[in-house]
Amino acid sequence: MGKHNNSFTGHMRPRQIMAGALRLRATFCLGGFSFLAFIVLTITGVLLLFYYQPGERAFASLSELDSVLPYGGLIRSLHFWAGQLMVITVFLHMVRVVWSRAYRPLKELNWLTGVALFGLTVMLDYSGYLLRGGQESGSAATVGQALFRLLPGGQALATIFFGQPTPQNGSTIGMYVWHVFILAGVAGFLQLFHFWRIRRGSGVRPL
Amino acid sequence: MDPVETDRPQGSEKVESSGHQEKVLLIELQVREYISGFLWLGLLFALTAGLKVSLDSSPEATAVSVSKAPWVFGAIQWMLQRWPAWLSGWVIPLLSTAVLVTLPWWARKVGKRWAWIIFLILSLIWVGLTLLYMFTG
Ligand code: HEM
Repeated sequence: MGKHNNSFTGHMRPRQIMAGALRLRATFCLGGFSFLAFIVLTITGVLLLFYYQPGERAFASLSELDSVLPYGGLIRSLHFWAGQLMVITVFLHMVRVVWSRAYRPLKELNWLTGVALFGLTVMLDYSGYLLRGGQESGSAATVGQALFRLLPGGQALATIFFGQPTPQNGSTIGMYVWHVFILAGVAGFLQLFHFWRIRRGSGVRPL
Repeated sequence: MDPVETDRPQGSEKVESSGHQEKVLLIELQVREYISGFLWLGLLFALTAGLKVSLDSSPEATAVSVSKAPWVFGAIQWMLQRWPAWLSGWVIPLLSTAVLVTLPWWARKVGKRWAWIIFLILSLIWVGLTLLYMFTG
C-alpha cells in the first residue's frame, strides 16, 4: 500500500498538501459541500427511483411515497433539500474561486468545467421540479417550452427536452431521462474531471 | 479512511518544507473535512426535519391559476413578466453566461480587480432578482 503516489487515489489525495490550504478561508469547504450534496442526491435519488413513476402517475406516486411508504417522506425531503443546498453551495464556491482568483492559467480549464457544472446544477434543480408532476410543474414546463419555441426548429427542440407535458403536469419520460441519466450522469463525470484537474493545477493555493 | 494514509509515519506532523510553501500531512485536511462534513449533514437533516416539503397541486384538482417558477429560475421569471421573452429568456441569460465563461480572459484584459467587480455586479443582479421574485412574487 505504501507507494500510492502513482495511483489514481494517490494523485487525487496526495500524502502531503500545502499548509495554507488548510485555512478555512482557502476554500470555506464549499467545493466539498457541493460534492457531499451530490453524493446525498445520488443515494436518495436512486432510492426514489424504486417508487417514482414519471408521466401521468408522477404526482400520485410521490404522494404515496410521501405518506404511505416507510421513510419515503424522509428520502424525498433529503433529496429536495440537498438539491437546494447544492445550488447555493456551488454558487458560493464560484464566488470563492473568483475572490481567490483561482481561475488563472493552469486552472482555466477547471473554471470552464466549473461553469458547466453550475449550469448543470441549475438544470438538475429545474428538471427535478418538473418531475414533481403537480400543476406548478406543468406551468414551469409550459414556460420552458415557450422559450424553446422562439428558436428556429424550436418545436423539435422543445419535444427533445420536455417530451409532451400537459399544462397540468410537467413530468414526462423525456424529462425523467434528462434528470436521472443525462444531466446527473454528465455532472458526475465532470465532477471527477474537476477533481482530477485540481490536482493537475497542484491543488488549492491559498491567496 | 483513505487507504493511502494507513502507513503514514507516526508523530512527524510537519513533513517537509518545499520551496516557499510549507507542507503538512493530508490527515490534517481530512480531519477538517470530516468535521465540516458532519456539520453540513447536520444542517441538511435539520432542514429535512424542520421544513416539510409540500406536494404541489394535484393535476387532477380543479386548475389553480399557477404561474410559479422554481426559485432557481426566479430571476428569469421576474424578467419574463416584464420584458419580451427572447430578451429575458435567452439574450440576458446567454450574455451573462458568456461573461462567466470568459472571466479569466477579462481578468487578463482589464485586471483582476475589475474581473471581481464585473463578477460581483453580475451575481448581485441575479441574486437580487431571484430574491425579489421569491419574496414579492
Ligand atoms: C458540482 C459542482 C462543483 C463541485 C462538486 C466542485 C468541487 C470542487 C472542490 C472540492 C474543489 C477544491 C477546493 C474547494 O473546495 O474550494 C474545487 C476547486 C475549484 N473549483 Fe469547483 N466544484 C464545483 C463547481 C465549480 C464551479 C461552478 C466553478 C466555477 C465556475 C468551479 C471552479 C473551481 C476552480 C477554478 C477550482 C480550483 C480552485 C483553487 O485552486 O483554488 N467549480 N471544486
